[in-house]
Amino acid sequence: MLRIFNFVLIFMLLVSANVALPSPLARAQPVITSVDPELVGTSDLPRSRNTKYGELAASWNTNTVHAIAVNGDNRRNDTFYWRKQDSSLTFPDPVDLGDAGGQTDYTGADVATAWHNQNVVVAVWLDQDTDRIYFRRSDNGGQTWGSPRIVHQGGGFPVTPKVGIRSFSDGQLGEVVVTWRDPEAFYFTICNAQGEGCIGRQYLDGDNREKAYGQAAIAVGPNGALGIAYVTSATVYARIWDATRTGAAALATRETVAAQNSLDRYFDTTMAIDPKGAIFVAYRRLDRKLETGGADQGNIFFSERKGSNSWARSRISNIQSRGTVAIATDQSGSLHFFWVSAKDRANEYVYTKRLPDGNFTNLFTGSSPVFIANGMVAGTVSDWAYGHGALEAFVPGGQVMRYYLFRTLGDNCVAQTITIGNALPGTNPPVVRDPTVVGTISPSAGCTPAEQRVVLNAQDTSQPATSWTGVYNIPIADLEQCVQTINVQLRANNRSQFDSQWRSLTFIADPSAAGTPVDSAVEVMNPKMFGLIPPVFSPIAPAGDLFSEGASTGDPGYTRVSQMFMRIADIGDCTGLSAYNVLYNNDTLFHNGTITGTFASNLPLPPQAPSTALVSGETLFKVQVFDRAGNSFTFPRRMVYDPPGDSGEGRPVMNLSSTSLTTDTNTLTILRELIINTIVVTDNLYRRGESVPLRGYNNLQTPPNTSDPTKQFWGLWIAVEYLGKGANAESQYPQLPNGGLTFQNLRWQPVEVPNATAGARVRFNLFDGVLDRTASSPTNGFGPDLTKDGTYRVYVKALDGAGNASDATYVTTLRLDPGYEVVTIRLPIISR
Amino acid sequence: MKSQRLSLILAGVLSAALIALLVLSAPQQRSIAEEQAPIFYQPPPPPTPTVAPLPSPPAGLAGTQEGNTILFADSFDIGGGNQLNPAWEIVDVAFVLPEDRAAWVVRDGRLTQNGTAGPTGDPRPNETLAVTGEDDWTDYTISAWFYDQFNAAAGLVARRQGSSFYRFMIIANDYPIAPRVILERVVDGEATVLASRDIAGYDRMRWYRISMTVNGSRISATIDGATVLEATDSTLASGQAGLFTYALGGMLFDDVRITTP
Repeated sequence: MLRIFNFVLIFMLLVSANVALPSPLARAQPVITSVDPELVGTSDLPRSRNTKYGELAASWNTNTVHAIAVNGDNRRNDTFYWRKQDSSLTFPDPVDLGDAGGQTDYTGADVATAWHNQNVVVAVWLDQDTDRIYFRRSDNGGQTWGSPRIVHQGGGFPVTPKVGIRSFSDGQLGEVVVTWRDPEAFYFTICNAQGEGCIGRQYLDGDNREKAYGQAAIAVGPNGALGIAYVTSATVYARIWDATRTGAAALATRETVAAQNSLDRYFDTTMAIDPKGAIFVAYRRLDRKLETGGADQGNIFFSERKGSNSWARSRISNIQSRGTVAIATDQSGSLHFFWVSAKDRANEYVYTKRLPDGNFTNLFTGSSPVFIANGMVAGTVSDWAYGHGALEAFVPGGQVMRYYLFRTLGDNCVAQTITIGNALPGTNPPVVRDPTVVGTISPSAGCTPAEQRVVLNAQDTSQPATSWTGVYNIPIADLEQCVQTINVQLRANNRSQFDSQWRSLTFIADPSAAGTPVDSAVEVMNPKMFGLIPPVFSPIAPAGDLFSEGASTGDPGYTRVSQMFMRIADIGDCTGLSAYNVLYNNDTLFHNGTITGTFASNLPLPPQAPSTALVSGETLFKVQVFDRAGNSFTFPRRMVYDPPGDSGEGRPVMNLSSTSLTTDTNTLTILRELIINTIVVTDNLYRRGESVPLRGYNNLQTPPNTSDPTKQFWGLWIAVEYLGKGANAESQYPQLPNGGLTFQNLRWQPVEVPNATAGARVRFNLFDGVLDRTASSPTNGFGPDLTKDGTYRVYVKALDGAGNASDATYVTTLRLDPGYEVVTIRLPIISR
Repeated sequence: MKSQRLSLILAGVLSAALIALLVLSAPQQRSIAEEQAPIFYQPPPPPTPTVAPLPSPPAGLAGTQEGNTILFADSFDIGGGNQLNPAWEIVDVAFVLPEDRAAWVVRDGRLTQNGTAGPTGDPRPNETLAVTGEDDWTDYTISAWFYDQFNAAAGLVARRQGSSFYRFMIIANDYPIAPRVILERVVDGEATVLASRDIAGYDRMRWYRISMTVNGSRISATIDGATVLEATDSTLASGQAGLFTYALGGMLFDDVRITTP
């Protein structure tokens, strides 16, 4: 009894298992939006005659639509290729790609574009008189074509060739795949990207070598994706390219998309691969009642591949098609469907689109006055999202390829225009000085937005959206960022999700509220530092050789003339610098000018107060810089006017009795060091370290503290004269002034002494401007080959920061022995 | 014990066979996924309007005169009006794949062009003929009633041998084409117009009686008893007579008569 029970149990399990036989994956039912596709119009392709199995393709990079078909009559046929912009309704006259002998209804042609390089367009067609399949490739979007290549020849009765070309994200092209039917089985071949080196005819489905039906379809996708859909024995199959392999082995194992059974049969498939690589196959199902004379019933489906041999099915319509159910994708990821309805034997064409969010537009159903069949479709997105349908339209005596242009009202709900309301007049790109950017948004034609999402500098769908107002007011978060972009995304009132497309407008933000509204660097300094005196002064040449001019470097914050050198540099201002004002310390204008690029010039030094003469000592003033947005920033600056005075009262005083300078003991080099043992200098204004002209500097020590004698001078003036080799050279050539020579005959070298404490060393060159007292007519400098060992005398004066030299001169002597080292620079010898 | 084990094994095998039989014979049903509601539901089309009965032929219509000798006549009544007389031969004018061959059937006492014979039965605009008679038939009149539901053109052929024949074709009025009434010579599939008139063709869902007479080099055609086209040509001397239309389906023919002129 138990055994019998077990049998019954097993039986019940098996029966229940039968009920739960594997079935296609169910999909969530999509929403039909209230978006109505609009038929822009229809046109017949010029010179189309006796066409069948024409094809469409699109180049999204140029919004170009390609069409191809074999046309002609009485076996004298041409392969016509047409191209046009997606928004235009009519195609211009075609280009003849080549002869296609045979019956036009069984020759056929196909056109396809490479996914990653859409200027590459490939075409194939069949010449039944020679059983050849020809291939041509265009690399400029179909404008010109390469030479024909024969990719296959032979067979019984080849029909309906199809082509695809793989491509990759780096723009490289992969193999060309061609498939056709002959006539009981489908075949394919693989060639290189030039249509050469083909591997020969292979069965597309080795297990199904008969009962092929209709035509196969090839689709390509991103990153080398390629698939073929076809029907044998009333079952829809797909073969998907294995991108990791090449050649015939790369066509992966056959997958069953829709299998016939005792009730249903499946036909007329097409395939599409969307930008995300998802694979879709569309097809129709027919009831078997038709075979027995029953009602003509059927349905339209599409399936999405969810994994290896796993397809999720959706039923689009309960009315079957007449011929192909065409599916294609566009760059936004929408799926376009176009077919001829077999409803009640009427001649109706149907278009719909699955939007990227998975929802559908309404159906567009149009009526044809003549018999139509076999829809084909392509999609583009430019100013609108366009659907391009074509079909075979029959009139007695011939059949033409008829084109239908659709666009979808309410779709592509994007910001057609974005304006900035607070941009400065006349600025392009717009310049905004406010801490917020405000403006208006206009939606694209046909769109009634429900929501808007305005995001600055990011296309971030996670940012909150607001109800549609058509205006925006967005705070500029980073006021220092010059180039900013307004990104706008809209949601139509009949859509559940935002349009995937953003529209953007770039502007220049140069807000006055920024921390540094004018990004500039302002330097004022001792005009002698650069020798750039014009037009006020003559240049100092060579630098520092004029006794009266003092140091040519010196301390930047001091000047002994009533001038300053001012440099204003743009350090990244968003709109650039335009003008400057030099203001007295009480903000009244002293001087102004314009700025083009970087400003650099000597300018009069502002007096300490308006309507007064400049007097020696500190003068505080301000430099106000303007940018092109009208922003300004004021930089406080300080200079010390330290002229020598009529009686030399401004010069530093070197106490010779408290000063002891010696030279080093190395007598075999011309580079020598002056060693400061002790030095005492006093000055009326200068004190090292108090002159740095930084913004906001506050001089608390005017007049400078004189308590530290090491900071009372900036550096030394050093001059050298040569006294010859004689043992009595010093007495033979007494110190200057002597023999008609004065200090003016010396070439003084200014040398900064940053640290004047005992033991500080200053390096100088004996030969630099040396005055040769031994010459009959003493001159400065030696000739290049002369030996000048012997006795040298060094004169030293103290310099304050403004370059005023002390009246007192410290003098010492030194020797340069024979065999001394001249400074040399040895460069490597490079052998080539 | 051994026999008990054997009987158990035998019972198991028999049960498995029974189960397999039941499983295989169980009525197959569509899965839930396949039967999910269509995204776009369209109500089923209304039933095709009933075909009107043949009108009584007015006296004097070509092919109906009592004095003529009847060479062939068929009212498609064999087998209760659902069986094709074997005297008819179905011809595809151009080469077609097997799935695209034209399908003609006799239903309700009428010869009907029913699309193609492939698994989908889709209509396809192939030229197709239903012919009868002998290659040595020279001078005769063929007449027939036709009724178009959703085809594009109807016609008659005479002196057909292979893909050569004379054809009288009338095109439906809703096709934007002119002329709609054409008499032409087809030689090896290539048609040459012998005569045509830019007059109305025909309206759908209505019976028309048409005839075509070949008599020596004279060829003429009538619609509802009125001569609409005449031509002279002696290229084709003899051949079969028959009916012409496209393999679009929806074309009914009845009461075909072939008589001496």
